[in-house]
Amino acid sequence: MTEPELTPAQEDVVRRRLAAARHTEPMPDEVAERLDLVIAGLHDRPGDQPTETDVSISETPVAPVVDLAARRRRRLTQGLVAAAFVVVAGVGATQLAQSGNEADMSSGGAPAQAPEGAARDDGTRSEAIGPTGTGDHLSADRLPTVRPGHFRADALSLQETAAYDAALSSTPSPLSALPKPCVRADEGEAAIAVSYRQLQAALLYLRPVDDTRTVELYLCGDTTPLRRATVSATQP
Amino acid sequence: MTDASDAELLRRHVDGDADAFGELFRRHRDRLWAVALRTMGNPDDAADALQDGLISAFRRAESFRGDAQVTTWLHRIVVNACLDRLRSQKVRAADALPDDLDQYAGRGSLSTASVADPAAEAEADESRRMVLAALETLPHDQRAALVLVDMEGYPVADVAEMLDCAVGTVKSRCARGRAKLAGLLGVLREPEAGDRAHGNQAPAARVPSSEPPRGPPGDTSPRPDDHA
Repeated sequence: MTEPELTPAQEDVVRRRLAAARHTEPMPDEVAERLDLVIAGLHDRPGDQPTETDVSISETPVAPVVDLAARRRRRLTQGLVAAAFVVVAGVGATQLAQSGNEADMSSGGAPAQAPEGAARDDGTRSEAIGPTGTGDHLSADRLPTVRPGHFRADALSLQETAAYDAALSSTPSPLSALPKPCVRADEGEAAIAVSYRQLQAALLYLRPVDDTRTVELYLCGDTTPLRRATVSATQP
Repeated sequence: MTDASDAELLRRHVDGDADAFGELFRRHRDRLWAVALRTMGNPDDAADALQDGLISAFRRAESFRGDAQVTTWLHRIVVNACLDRLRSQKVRAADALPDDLDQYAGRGSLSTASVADPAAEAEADESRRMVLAALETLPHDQRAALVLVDMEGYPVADVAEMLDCAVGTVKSRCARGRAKLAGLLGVLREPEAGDRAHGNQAPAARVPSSEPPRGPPGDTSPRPDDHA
C-alpha cells in the first residue's frame, strides 16, 4: 500500500493535469432549474425553518403536473394511451420497507452531514413511513415517505400496498382527496404520490420487463427522474 | 440584494427573506457544481448530491457561526453530501468513465493555446478523460481533497475546513492521491516530469531515446513548453 514517492516535477505534472481536467462549464440549465424548484419548494412550505419533521406541504401542489407520459411517448415512440391514473397512496402505504436490506445501502443510511431531515428519516423510520392516521386534513403529510437512503426498499415495499394496486388498476380511491401524484402513468404503469426529503414527489412504476420493472422518482414539477431503481415486478 | 455579502444573504435567509438563499446559491452554484461533478464523476449523481447539500444548507443556515467564509461552509456541506453519496454507492460497479465527458465534450479553456489546434485539443481531451477515470479510482477522501486543492485551487487551509480535518490531513490525502494518479497516468514512466503540457503517455519514440529506461532527470523536453 506504499505509494511511490514523487519527485517535485512528477507531482507538478499530476497537479497540472488535474487542473486541466477542472470542470469549467456553468451548471447545466436543467440542473439549475431543478434546484431552483427545490428551493422554491422549501420556501413554499409554511414555517419551513430548520424543523426537519415538518412535512406539511400544502394541499396545493408544489408544481404543476408534468405530463411525463407524453415525454416518454416521444422518446420511446410507443403509442401508449395516457391513462392518467390519478391515484393516491395514503393510508394503504402503511408497512413500508421494514426490511431495508437492499444491497446498495450504507449502514445507517443517512450520513453525518446529511440533511437533518434525512437523518431523522432514519432515526424514526417506522414513524416516518407509517400511517399518520390522525389528521383529517388530507395533505402531503399523509403520504408515504420514500427515504433517500432506502429508495429501492421503499419502492419495493410500496409496490405491495393497496395504494399500488389502486394505482395500477385505476380503481377510484376513497382517499381521492389526498394529493395526487404529479406524474401521469401510462397503461400498465402506476404512479403514487409520495414524500421525498419532505418534498412532494411521485413514484412511477414503469411496465414490467420480464420479472423486473423500473421505478422512477420524480419531484413534482421536474421532468427528469431524480432516482431510478430496478425492482422485482412480482409481488409475493 | 445583489450587493449584499454572502454572510448578509445567509442572515437574511435565517430571518425569513424568501429570496436570500436563492441569491446566495446562484452566486456559487457553478463552482459548487464543478466540485460536485468532479467528486461524483457523473452529472446525475452530482445533481443529486448538490440537491442534498442545498436542502441541508437551507435548513441548517442557523448553524453557520460566521467563523468561516460562507463559501467554505457551502462547499463543506456539498462535499459532505457528495461523500455520503459515494459511500452509499460504493458497492455499485464503477463506470469506466464519467458520463459528463460525452455530454460536455468540447469545452475550452483547458488547453492554453490550442483552441485552434484540433490535434492538441483532442490530446487534451484524451488526457482529461484519463485523469477523470483515474480520479474515480481513488478513495473518496483523497478524491475530494484533490478536487478541491488541485482542480479548484482552494488553499489547503480552506479545504481543511471544508473537509473538517487538519491541514496535515489534507496534505497527506493530496500526496497519496497524486502518487496513485501518477502511477495510473503513466507519469512515473515519463522521462521528465516538467514537460508535456497535455501529458499523454510517452509516445512511441521516433528518435532513439538517450534517457535511462526509467526514472526522472534529463532535461529532454521536446520543445519549449508553456510551463516554466
